[in-house]
Amino acid sequence: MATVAGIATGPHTLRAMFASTGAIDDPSDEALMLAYAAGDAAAFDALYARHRSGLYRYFVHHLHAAGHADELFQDVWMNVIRVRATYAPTARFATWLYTLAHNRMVDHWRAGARVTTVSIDDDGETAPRAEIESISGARNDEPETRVAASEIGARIVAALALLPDEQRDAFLLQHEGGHSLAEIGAITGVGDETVKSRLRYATAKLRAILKDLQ
Amino acid sequence: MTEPDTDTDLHAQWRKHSIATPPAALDDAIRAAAHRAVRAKPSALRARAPWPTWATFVAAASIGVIAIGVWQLQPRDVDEIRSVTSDVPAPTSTAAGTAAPHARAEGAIVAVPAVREELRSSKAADAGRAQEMAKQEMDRQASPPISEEKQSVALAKKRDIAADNAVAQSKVVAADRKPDAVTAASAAAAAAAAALPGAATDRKTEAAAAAAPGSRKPSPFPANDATRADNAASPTAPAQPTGASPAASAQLAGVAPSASAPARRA
Repeated sequence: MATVAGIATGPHTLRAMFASTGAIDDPSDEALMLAYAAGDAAAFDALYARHRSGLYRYFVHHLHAAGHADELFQDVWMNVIRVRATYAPTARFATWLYTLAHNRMVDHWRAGARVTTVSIDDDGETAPRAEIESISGARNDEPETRVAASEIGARIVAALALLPDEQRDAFLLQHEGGHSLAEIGAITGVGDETVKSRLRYATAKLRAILKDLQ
Repeated sequence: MTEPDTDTDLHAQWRKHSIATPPAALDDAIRAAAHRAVRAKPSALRARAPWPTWATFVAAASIGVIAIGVWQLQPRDVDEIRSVTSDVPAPTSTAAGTAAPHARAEGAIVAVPAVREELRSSKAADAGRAQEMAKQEMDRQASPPISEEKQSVALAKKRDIAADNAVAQSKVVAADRKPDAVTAASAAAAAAAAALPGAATDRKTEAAAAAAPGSRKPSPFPANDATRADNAASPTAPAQPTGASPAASAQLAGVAPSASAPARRA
């Protein structure tokens, strides 16, 4: 992995360091971000290719309007571009990126622009089956159209939409961002036990739905 | 996933059906923005210093001001301490001039006793001045105020002159008029003298009043008595304000107190 001292001299030095260490084929996210902060635009392309799908699905499953998902997705990446000079690799780049995304999502919720959904309380009660089955499958004017390629996928997405925001957020951060419990707690600002509880409730509800569908 | 709450089947199902990707137009827009930011502002990163340039100058100026202030607040007794620490007697000037180069190099140390003597003499002079000022202050506090004493002496002299003039005028008038008039003139003189401040203690005025055979009993209002006596002494003169001196009254009446007697005699 390249050091920060090597990054400070410019992208060419960084590439030379990668070439000498054999890490040019698979540089870390942090190294790519530092390279982009030093002026290497190609490093941003590689970084964007790695995280574009997961981050986009994070917004798509949180929001139920294609315009909102695209807008927030673009906002996060523009924020990355804007604050590239102050980036410090104190944590994983993915953690930093999803922290920006989570904060943007919270701002969106606070703005009241979120579509109100029927949510299940945190008491472990399973979603009413009639309510879940009443949700239609794919619709051409929603982002779920691109997500759910089958009936099962549509049902999963619909079941996820019924989860509370915190449980859905923890589930998406784990399955789309690939974060650990500690990282999810750092992103959302809660403790590990709270994250564990939210994930337990979310997976239990979704598993029950999948069992019925299978 | 290695997390305990992760369901492998659920994750597999999720990965299988969650295949959304951002639109190609959105990808192009974000990449273009990233490339544009790198190309357009290559110096923007260098411009983001921890603080602006002017802050550096302000900080340096503040440090300088504080340093000067601290330097001025420090006591200036370094030379005095150095002179106390050296007790080497001061050599003569010829000896210093003929001394070896290394001895001349120590001239600063040799000259320290002379500086010490100068400091002692200046301290002695300061102490003498301080004692003299303290003595003058004590004398000034012990003695009564000079201005009051001068005022009382001047007032006594004024009273004496007024009494003498009144007595002389009364004698002149008595020589021309009846004895009753002399008595009235003497009483008027006494009253005029009594009109001045401090007349109660004037011995000459009391004696003149006692010498008058038909003198009236002293009134508690000497100023009014003086006015009446003055009018009686010079019937042609108009009444004067209370407290006016007999000399001024005589001048207003056209009679000089000192020169009128010989003229009237003639």
